[in-house]
Amino acid sequence: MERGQAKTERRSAGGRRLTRRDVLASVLAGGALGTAGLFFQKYYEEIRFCTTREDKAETFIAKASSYDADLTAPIQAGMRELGIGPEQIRDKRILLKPNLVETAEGAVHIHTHPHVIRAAAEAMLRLGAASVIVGEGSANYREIARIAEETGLDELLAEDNIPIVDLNCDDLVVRPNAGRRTRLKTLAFPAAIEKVDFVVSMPKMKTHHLAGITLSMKNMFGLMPGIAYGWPKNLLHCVGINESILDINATLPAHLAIVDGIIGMEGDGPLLGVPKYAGTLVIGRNLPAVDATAARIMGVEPSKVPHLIAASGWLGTIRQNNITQRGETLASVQTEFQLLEKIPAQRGLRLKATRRDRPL
Amino acid sequence: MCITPQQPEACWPTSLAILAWQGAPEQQKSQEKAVRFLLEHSKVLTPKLPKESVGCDTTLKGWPWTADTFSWVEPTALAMIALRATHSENHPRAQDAVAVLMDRQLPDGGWNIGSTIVFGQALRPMPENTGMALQALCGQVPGKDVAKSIRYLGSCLERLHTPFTLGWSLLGLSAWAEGIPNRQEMVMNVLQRQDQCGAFDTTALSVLLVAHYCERGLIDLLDGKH
Repeated sequence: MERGQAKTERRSAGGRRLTRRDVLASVLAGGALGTAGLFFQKYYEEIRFCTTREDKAETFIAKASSYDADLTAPIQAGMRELGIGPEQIRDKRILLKPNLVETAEGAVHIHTHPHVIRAAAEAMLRLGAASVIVGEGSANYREIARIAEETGLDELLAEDNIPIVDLNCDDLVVRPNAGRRTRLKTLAFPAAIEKVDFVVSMPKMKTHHLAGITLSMKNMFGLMPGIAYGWPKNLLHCVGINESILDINATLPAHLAIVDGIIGMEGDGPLLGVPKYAGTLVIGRNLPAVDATAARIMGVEPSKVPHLIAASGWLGTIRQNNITQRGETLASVQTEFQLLEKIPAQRGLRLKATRRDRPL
Repeated sequence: MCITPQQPEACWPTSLAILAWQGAPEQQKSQEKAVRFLLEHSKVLTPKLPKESVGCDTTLKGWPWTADTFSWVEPTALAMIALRATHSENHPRAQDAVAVLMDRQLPDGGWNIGSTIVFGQALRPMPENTGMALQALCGQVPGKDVAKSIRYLGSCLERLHTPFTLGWSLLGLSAWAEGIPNRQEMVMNVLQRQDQCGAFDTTALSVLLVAHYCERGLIDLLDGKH
């Protein structure tokens, strides 16, 4: 979507006319708010499943009753089931990219839980990884050290000498934009990406009032450096949030995704929603497939999520028939996340079989 | 000024360059050019949008992180501080900065990156942004207009243990002559945390050390009164 196209009126999936004014409003509210995703939805629905071939994918669902449970074992089991063993990890330098956008006292539903991050780090080290670093470019915090301290992540990782890198303020490396869904010809990444061999997107399972839901693909937004794109990555919102998600994932595809769905967020996510217990971890190498699986767990139809339908057949697959489900069944962990009718990006996302949106 | 030649739209460091050149006669022309850029050439989006839906007045023109995007608290506060340091605080654009910052103040006090109310809910304040805004607004608005923000920031101090956030928080409170009795202890605690957590970023440490040095905020220092 070129920037100038925002001048054209469009209709959302629900039929409401969206204007440039709507889009600008959502972009400004920005990092936190808005509706920008919607006006792309019709466009993407039109090209839905028009691709000729989609790869098959596997995802692994684990049950995890709490953050105090042994989380390393299910992550190891998932990786084993997905064919990721010592041969794939030995001597690799690993970057874990959690979602550490913000925190609040006592809140575990806003960010990827430190215990999940540590468990992933331990799983990688047990498979022979040369090193593990945790990196994030928070959209709302100016220094990662503060959120690491407030969440207890710094102490937890210090036990294993795992460093936390502030991706907002790292040196920059510029790569050609492989997606070209935005007008941006190049994308600036933190130099940390050139010092690792294997990137793991570790999102929180949340609703989102710009993108509908935020999972492993949207989580890669946090890789982008604030010094180049601002806080909350405002330039990327202005050129199109869904297009930016696609460009980032096309240019720097992650090797693995581990979704923290033990306690997620429903309603007015990604910051102001309420906790939602789902008791699950979702793991996979194909990010659109992982997100589609997580979306179905949340009671969300992935083909209604603009960046997922646009990614399907290109960056991965979201078709249920293409995804082999390992571990637990979808039905055994499915729990409906609340979607708010007042948030345009969340309208009409509900899986038909579970439609019970809350009118507000 | 931009962050790198390959990212010319990332113009927010202009304000920092102005501050860095303060008191350096050999950089005076560069500084003047940078001030002119801030005053005349900064590109910022100011669409007219309903305040009830976005929570702020989008027609006010502050400063963006990157050209042709929206005004945000930090670049606007930094621009205001740079303009004050170069005695341009009476320029209409400086007054724009004051208006933007006051408009983005959260209902219960404090500032964050610049999002106020979303779908009817107020977002959380952040101490680092609050410190920057208070520093920028010192002497520009009556104390009563920012009293809730000063109280919010004062209530945060004890739990701030990282250099950038504590540094800006100290600067913001100091600018408003708020007494900070255990200032040195707080600064030392942060420095000592490096033994456990590893070295902090140099830029963040610089903010903390400046804050430690400036007991009345940044402006006196920049005016050579310290």
